[in-house]
Amino acid sequence: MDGEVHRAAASWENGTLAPVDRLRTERADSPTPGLVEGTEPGAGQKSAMFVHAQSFEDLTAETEEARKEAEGYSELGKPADSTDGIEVLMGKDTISEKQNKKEGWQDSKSKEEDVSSEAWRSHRKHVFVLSEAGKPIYTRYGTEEALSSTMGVMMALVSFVEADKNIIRSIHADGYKVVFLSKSPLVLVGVSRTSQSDKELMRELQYIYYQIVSLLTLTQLNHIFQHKQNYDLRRLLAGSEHLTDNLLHRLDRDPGLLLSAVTCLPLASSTRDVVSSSLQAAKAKSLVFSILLAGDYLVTLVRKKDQFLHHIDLHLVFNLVGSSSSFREGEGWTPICLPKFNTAGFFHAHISYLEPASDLCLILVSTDREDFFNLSECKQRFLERLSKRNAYQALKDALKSPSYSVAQVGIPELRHFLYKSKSSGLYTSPELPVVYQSEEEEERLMGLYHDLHSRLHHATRPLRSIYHCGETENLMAWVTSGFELYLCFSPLGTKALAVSAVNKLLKWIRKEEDRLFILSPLTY
Amino acid sequence: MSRKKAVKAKGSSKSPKPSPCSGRSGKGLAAAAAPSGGLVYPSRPSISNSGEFYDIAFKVMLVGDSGVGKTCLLVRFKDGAFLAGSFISTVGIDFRNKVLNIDALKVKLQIWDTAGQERFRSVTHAYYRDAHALLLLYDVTNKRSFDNIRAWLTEIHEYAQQDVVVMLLGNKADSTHDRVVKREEGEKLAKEFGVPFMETSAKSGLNVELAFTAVAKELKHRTTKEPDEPKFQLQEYVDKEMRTAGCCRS
Amino acid sequence: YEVSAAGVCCAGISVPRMATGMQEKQYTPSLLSFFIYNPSFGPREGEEEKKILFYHPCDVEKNEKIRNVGLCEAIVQFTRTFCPTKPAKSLHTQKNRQFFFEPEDNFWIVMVVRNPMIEKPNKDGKPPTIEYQEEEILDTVYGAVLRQCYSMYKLFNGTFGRAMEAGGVELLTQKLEKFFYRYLQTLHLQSCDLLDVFGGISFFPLDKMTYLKIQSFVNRVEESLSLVKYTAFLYNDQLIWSGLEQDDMRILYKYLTTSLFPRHSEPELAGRDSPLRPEVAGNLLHYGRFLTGPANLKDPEAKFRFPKIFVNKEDSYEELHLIVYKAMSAAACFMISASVELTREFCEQLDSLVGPQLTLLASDICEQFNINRRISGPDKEPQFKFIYFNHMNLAEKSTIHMRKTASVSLTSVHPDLMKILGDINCDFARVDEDEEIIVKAMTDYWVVGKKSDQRELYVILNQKNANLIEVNEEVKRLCATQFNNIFFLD
Repeated sequence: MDGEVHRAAASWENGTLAPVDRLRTERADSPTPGLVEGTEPGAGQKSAMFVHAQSFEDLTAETEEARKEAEGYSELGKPADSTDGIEVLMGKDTISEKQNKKEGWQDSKSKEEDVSSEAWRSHRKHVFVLSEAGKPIYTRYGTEEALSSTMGVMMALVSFVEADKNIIRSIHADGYKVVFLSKSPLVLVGVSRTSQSDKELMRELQYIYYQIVSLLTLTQLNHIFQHKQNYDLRRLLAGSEHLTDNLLHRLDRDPGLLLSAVTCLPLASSTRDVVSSSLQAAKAKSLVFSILLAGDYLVTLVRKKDQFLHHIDLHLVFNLVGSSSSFREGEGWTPICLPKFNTAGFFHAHISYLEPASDLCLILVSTDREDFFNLSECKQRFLERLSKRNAYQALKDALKSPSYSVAQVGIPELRHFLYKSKSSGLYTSPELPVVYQSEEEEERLMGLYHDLHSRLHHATRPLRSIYHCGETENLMAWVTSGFELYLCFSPLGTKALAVSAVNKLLKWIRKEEDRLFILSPLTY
Repeated sequence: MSRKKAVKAKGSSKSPKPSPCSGRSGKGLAAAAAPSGGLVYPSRPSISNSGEFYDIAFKVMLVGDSGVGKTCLLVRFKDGAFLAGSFISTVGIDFRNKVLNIDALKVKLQIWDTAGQERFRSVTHAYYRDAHALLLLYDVTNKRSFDNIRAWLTEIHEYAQQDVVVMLLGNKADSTHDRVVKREEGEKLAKEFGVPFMETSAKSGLNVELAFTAVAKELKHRTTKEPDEPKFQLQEYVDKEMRTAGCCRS
Repeated sequence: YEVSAAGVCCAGISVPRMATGMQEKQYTPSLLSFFIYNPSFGPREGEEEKKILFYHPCDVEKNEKIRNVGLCEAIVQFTRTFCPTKPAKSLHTQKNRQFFFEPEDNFWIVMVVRNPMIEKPNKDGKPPTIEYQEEEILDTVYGAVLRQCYSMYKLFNGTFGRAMEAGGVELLTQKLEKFFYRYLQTLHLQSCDLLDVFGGISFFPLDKMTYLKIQSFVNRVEESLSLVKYTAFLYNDQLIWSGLEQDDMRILYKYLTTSLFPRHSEPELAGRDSPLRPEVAGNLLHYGRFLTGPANLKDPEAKFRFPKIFVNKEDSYEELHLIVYKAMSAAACFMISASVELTREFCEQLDSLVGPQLTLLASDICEQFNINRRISGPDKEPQFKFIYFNHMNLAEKSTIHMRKTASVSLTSVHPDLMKILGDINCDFARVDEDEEIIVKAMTDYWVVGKKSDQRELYVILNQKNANLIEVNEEVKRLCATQFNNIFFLD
């Protein structure tokens, strides 16, 4: 059983990351035989919801295409309209092209900030996206116009090193580092004053890359730059800057993005089952995924048989929903590329809140661009069924306490923790205690988790566990073949306490697992 | 204005099965009674997704460059509120419904608020052909959005139905200081293409109601008119209404 | 404990890995290039070559040199966009790492180190696949090695600015050429580790009596030979007494222990009757001899030239003769102002004064050392190995390194564990507070790092089945016996 899981994982990896494979087999010999992958608390009972749930390393995988082959691609991910899109966008007789010759078709940006000021320089994390021609596409702070020469230099550095058949990775200085990521036809550059490792920062840039791909598809991106190297991509990305801004904000805050996992709304399993089966029943021919979110919590996810959603894609959906206020009132209908599923084509997402004032948001992902009304009806059917089976009220009640306090676990000196079940790709974490509720402290705590994570997952020197004792808190992290656990104790916590806390916590999670996790995911 | 919801779809399992409106159904119009008291009768033939009864439904699409205020205009019309401050960028298409009383009929406008950005063109194009009316907006403080109107009209011509109702709106008319497009320029362009025109302001509310009502009247008129009935004169109606409103306001 | 193979092999030479039957070759990190430039020397286009003051390897084509210097300039300039005062210190690429250091205004030293790599042969005559191991080199370690290069140059030549004042670019390039040509050959990049980051000094543990004897010896010599400005006293590559500033002593210590002493160690080991000992014959009063200066005082042709060193003095520096005099395992360094000319008479006087006393002291220390060893019990392979460093007095102690000489450093633990120590050290460097980090490696070794009040201690435990609490107890015991409980955390 365990061996099977591992074989499957290896095939996803496509063998490009030898050290990771090595790491994984070593982890299988972990000294906790009772907790091998698939039997840890939170592991799904039937089948996983996500593609390759433990795919932290996925983000750093190099070859997209090879991975696709390994997944045994279905026809689903190749909707034909991606090429339509290009025709529309690039065709000679469209408005954009004509207008652009005269004046362009663009909005000016409102993030004016003096890029030579100390304030600009001292931002915690800059992110730049540019084309291989060195044209600015995105900057987190300041305007692209003001930074066009800086981005030109960035591209020059990339190509200069490339000319030696070499690849530039990063530049390190006292107090900050610059990380480069080439994802043709884009180049992404991050400048960070955090203590994150290069690998972590690369991973974040990958997310930004996927965010852009999800807006345009890779096929379209490639097509555009093949035809016009000098193309100003901002024309196509206009209005999406806040998506990237928001994703960067999430990357600093959301443990899910760090853990390559998502968290669920705590819900009685009976209620969740009704919600899931109601969603399952409200199907349509073109539907691939039905996702119910409550803020940043996953309530349930129903998928077409044999189609898996990747957690990165799900996080992009979270980001899209969380960044757009316009879905609240009406019903949204938007093309979205799920790059981990298929970088070549668009899905079409019907996005609507169950009620304008509610946090419950339903996302119906379809392959058919014309299927809006059909999906709109699916939503109605779902709502009806939910009400008929009296689950809607239970769901709304659960929403009143979407989180739990760490006190419920009953471990002295324990302030906070993250627990990820590897096989299900889901994690659970209590709400932040008062000490970490300020923006600054929250970021600091996340920074500590980031540090632990990057140590545990070091490319060549991975660790089984870390205990870090500092002046403001004591931290512990532990990886086994089945789970990842990160704990934050008050500085009064001792090592003996930490050791007993781990056992106690694992027992507690086991006890609560059917409320905290989705144990029986459904398919249409 | 009736804004009362009779039945909440989610709350009642007995409510009639929602049927998405299917365009210009004129059925049941004869039975229409004036719902002056705001009470809605359960015998109504149709119910929208949001639970409001209606007699007749039309699809209206808001188009124009991004940032001209399409969403703001819609929110002002629907909720009477102005979205100040934050820049809201519509993703793809946003569908909302609003039921109006037009000459004793409940007319449901299914309003498609579209994203102005280029990358969504392919999606919005797909929905042009189902639209009965198009409100084409530009921003009087943004010359480029005005210049793009010709291109928009070409696009409308290409993708929309032949008899689609088009109305040109010069939005943000309240911003007197930043104005760069004169009212006369808008009028001239509208005349050239033979479409009705007015200036609006989502912020002050100027002509917002009127724009939607006028379109609804025109659509209703087209659908319900007897063969010998005279054609509804949209621009005339608009001009008249604006004059009355104008003198009341100032 | 296994002795690491990577520690022994030399730069660039491949060691076949035995694990796979295929002829897979592993290459350790090696020096690709090393250059020094000053951008202000050739600001105009076409004059770029003038910027380059030193370039190793020298046979690189001119345009290639200019190109590589250009990249460094661009990187440094680029990072000033984000912090004008703290430009780039290193550049990571797939194939190599470049380290930048600006020791004096506008003078840049750059060291390019090739990442370790594995060459995997392919079938059918295809060229082998090369896999670069990009995360194997620690910036802190090689950054320290680069700074040490400059410190060593400065110890023997003074600043770059000094050479410029004395003889312009021409003199400077001469000096750089002369110094680095030889010095770079002594860099052994594959065996650099945490100890290079500390650049510490190993102190000889001594009882109070013997220590006082040494101190009074130093006082007596300085009184009798008033020319002596500073004195340092070492035994067995370990420091006992120094009159120099800490930073000067640190680099001098590095020179003595990794360069000068090893070069003279062979005759020492050969014993007193060996023909290899040129000078002892005829002088039975003592075993003293000069390691710098005249090899044989009796030789009428003997030259009385000593190496000159530069040490810091307030804002400036002073130039000194370095006399290193050794008797058995004890070595005394005497530093005398370079403005004084040293004569045969002075050297004879020093020899006759210091020789007998130093010989006596050496055997005293040796005896004392043996007594102490006997008290502490027989050598038993302990369950742990450790490295200790104190930032305040630069004291370092390692039971991980078996021998550290110019050519090889043998560590008794796997290189991956050494790198984990380096990682922990980086964590410590980030926050200025007391911390403790305990990790369990994939090989089940436990590694403990403690930082407390300017002191750092790293312990590697080979107790695979121990848990966190037991590991903690073990380290507590170690601290109690070895370090008088100077670490307070939990």
